[in-house]
Amino acid sequence: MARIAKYLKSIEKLNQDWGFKLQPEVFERGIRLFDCEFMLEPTYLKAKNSNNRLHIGLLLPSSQSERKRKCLSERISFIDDKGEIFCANADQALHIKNEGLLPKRVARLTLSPPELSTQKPYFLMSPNALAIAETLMRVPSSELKAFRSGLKFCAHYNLYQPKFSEIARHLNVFDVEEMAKKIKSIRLDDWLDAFEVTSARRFMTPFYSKAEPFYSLLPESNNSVDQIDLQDVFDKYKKQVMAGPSEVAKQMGVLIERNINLWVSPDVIGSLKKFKKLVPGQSKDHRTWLIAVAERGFEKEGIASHVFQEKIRVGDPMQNNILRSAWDLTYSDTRTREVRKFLLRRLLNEI
Amino acid sequence: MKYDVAKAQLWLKQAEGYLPGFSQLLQTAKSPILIVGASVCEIYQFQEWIPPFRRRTGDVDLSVGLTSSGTEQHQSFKQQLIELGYKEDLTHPYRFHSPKAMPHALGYIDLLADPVGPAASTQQAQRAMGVSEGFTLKGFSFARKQAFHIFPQVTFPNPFGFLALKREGYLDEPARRIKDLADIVEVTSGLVEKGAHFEIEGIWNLIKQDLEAQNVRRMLTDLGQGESVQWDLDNVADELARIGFTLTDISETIPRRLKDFADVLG
Repeated sequence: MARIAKYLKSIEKLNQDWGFKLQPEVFERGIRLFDCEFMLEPTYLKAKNSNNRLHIGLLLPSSQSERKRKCLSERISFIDDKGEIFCANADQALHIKNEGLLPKRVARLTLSPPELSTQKPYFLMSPNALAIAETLMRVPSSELKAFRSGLKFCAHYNLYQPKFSEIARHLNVFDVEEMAKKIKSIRLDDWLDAFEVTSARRFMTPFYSKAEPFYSLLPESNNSVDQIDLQDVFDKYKKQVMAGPSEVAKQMGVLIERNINLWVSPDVIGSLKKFKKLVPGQSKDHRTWLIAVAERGFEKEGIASHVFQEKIRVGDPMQNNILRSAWDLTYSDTRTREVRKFLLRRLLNEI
Repeated sequence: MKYDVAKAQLWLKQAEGYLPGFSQLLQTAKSPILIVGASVCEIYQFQEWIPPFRRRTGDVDLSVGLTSSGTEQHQSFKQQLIELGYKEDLTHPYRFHSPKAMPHALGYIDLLADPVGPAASTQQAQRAMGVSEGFTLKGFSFARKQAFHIFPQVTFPNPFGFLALKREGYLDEPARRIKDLADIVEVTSGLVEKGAHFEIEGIWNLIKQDLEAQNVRRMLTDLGQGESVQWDLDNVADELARIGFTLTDISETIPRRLKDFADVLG
């Protein structure tokens, strides 16, 4: 009973500090909170075996921070003897924790992160996964049918097969065509939500975080507002210079912009600057060249598309992974971010 | 680098407006004359190697190259200036004020000396100028290498020579010569702004073995990277702001330009 008493005090404190009306009732195995139908018990095993009609939680000593972390990650409710409480049900969670450094009566209300929906393509936010998704979206269904296994599909398009299997498990699909259908059915807004996941930045460098502005001292032969012929650049630096995200959007007809942006291999950046007489900085009389150096290479960064493109001329934005370009645009200015939708629509419907 | 002697002579013609007889004096010079100091930036500007130089300079620094043992060459040049009506400064024995003083214009000539031939020495040059042994002449010899000729005997240093002189000047008295560091930054950034650094490799290859050249390269790399204590753009930020550079210029554009310049040097 003495062991339970400290938790009762803790609940009482929560009621005082937060104006809650939690009504604890002690019963043989622990404490039951009537109003929110929580049953809190001292041990993990008992919690696991309990009747799941109620939300089962734990009574945890405040010293057991490791177990608390585990409970938070597994969404197991708990209350400790210092007034920390975590209550989670299927779609909501409440976490109140006393901050040691703050005055005693000040607590921090932390909502636990929402559970990632399986419908949203968070699991596709990596270079390998985006390469697979983009290939599935661009290759016609008739061609996909020919692949009798994911292994053959991956070998043909030089994709990372373990990632393919992982995606297949996640989507619960068993063949290539089925996976393509599922990926194509992902809603536009879900793609946009998934692009916001910051952890993807560990694997892919956002173009706009890396890009630096330059301007060219060369006179422009093509004075069109939005277009400049970069073919000489692409011809000279085959596979070492690729269109940047808004360049892809421009070339696909969903953005009008005067500036140029390019991904450049570190091996040719010096030469490109010399070739185009590119000077660091911006000038109101010149268009801006935003250039990002792909330190890890186009392959590792997932910038290049894996779809075979023998007929596509060098430098064509179709050589880019369009999903990756749309992801990059997440980190651009507000106006250009909007372009992601149009880029995705083009990818889903028209390519 | 594309050098146009006519443009250099045009600068001389302009200077003649404030420094009477100056152009003729250089044209007939018998000793090797090196133009140094901030007026070199004006010549660079005339060559379109850099944009308009922001710091106004009030003087032209000339150095008479001493080829023999003795100070006669310097004395002879000094005498010619006096004959043209230039007046000796009371404080600085090497300074000669123009007879045609105008506000916001070049007002005087600093007549320096540096040893050029094996027979000449630094002490001899210092004696000629009437200055103490503390007066540094470091970098002059390097500045004469691969210099550009305006007349057969008159040259001005290439950008590396200029930067080496400014570097020595700054290192001599960092607190008092902060303008030298500002000049280094402004000229280097300007060379990149005008794209002159794309054509500088030829000169660099001819002098890069020199210690002074390597010191210049290291200085520019340090300034561009922002990790050095000695060569830190923060030291000169106030001076750059004073002459009209914006915060974005100082914190972003200039470091990138210095780095690009250093990158060209390999």
